[in-house]
Amino acid sequence: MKRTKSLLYLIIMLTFSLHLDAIEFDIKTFGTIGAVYNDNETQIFRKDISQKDGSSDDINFKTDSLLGVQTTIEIDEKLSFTLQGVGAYDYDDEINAKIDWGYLKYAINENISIKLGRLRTPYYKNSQNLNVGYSNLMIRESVEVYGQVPFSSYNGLQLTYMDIIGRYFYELQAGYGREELVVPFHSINEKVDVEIENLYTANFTFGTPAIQARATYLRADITATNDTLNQLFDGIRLLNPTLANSYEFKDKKSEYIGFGIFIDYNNFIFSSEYGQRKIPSFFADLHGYYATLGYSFDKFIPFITYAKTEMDKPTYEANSGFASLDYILQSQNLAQSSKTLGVKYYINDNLDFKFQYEYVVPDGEYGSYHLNTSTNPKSMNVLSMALDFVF
Amino acid sequence: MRTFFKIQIITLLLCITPLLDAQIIIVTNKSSDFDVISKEMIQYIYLAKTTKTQGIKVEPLLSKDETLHRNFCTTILCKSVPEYNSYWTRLLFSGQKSITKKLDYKEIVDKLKKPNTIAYIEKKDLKKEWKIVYESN
Repeated sequence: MKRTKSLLYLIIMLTFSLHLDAIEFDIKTFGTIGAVYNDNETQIFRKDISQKDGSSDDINFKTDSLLGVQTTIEIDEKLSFTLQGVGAYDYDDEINAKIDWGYLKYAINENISIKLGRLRTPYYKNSQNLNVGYSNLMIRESVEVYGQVPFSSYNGLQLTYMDIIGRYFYELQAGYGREELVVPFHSINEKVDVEIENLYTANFTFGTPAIQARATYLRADITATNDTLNQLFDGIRLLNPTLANSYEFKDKKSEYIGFGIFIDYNNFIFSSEYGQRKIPSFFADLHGYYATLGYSFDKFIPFITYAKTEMDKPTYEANSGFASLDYILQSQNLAQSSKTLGVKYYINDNLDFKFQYEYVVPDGEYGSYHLNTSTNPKSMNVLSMALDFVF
Repeated sequence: MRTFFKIQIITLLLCITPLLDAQIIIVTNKSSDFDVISKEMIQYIYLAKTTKTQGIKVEPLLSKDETLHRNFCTTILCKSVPEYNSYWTRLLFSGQKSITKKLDYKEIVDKLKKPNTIAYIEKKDLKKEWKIVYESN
């Protein structure tokens, strides 16, 4: 890992030193100041599972607020380096500044480019600009699709080919890499070390400026362990090796499949994505979708969204014969649906203001993406507002 | 009754306002290597899906004139100005190189001296050293 990073830095420094006279620097900032109120005191409303704190019958400013900086260095017409860092509240409920992505890009020609470094995993349409609120319609993307996989970047390379045929454009991307990260496991109040090896990514976008379709596929060998999980599965393995092997999250071939359709025509905006994760372990399989419809009255864009996550098999009925395993399996239930009504108002080229109301309904015991203190979580009415900026 | 007529007049004005917008054209220097660009190709160039037309590299210019820019976005790109800003923000914060900054008329005149550069202007501002490569109906 250290070797790969050192090699990458060496390549970058050597490249810079060869082109010092022609280098162009560009620094941009972006961010969101957000406030969220959830009327259900038994649940903590969060942006996604990477957060610990959120709104629980109080106003919370941590959910959506963040600050980011992006530096682009144009070395020449073909070669550039881009680095993006983001500061936001993390799973320890502390402000964490991290390098979200940073890569060297080389445009081989008009159609083909290659990126090397830390890259965004291309699950969704807005994977690249997920943290840049000004570029998105809603305050936060539907967690029912965008919250399925708890890692968003990887170290590796990505090849892109794009072209136009007649009235249509298409873009093909293929990537390969690996990633290591720590993921919170809130139900046992611990963290899990996650290793992602042999990550292959592919996505295809096709369409016109008005209508586009997208398909994506990711595959990786994933391991998620910590001492508690290791002890649990070692114990189960002594009595029932088949059960231990089927639920232990070790070197499991995992997949994500996604589809999307996006329309922007005569002021009508429609977007819909479907995502399905398949991870043969205690981290249960699920699928989800959303559909958003908006209309642009120039600076005002009102919108409505319906989103839903379903578990492939209900986890809250888990009955493995091992109470500790059942508890972990039950807590994997992320099934929920939500209806959102909101408006985005463009103040100017640098600022926008958003307001939205969400009605979130957990499905089944221990359900939803949001932390709960009840085994039968109830619905939530969530009001959010945000001021997004780019400079 | 009077309120009803007022609403009708306002509605009528809202409907005809786009028709009163000045006609927008895409121009380039007469020495450029192309004579015509389709509307789709202009969209792709301004949406950064390509930098070429008919195999020739093109440099697109943006206007500082707010009315002209709005007219261009709605007529040619079929997007509102905020939607176009949002689109470009997505590209810029994905590491895409931006189109040059917005220019005033004098700067556009100067930049159009370079062949294979395109800009949107009102038809009344057409100069003899330029040729029209696209004209909206």
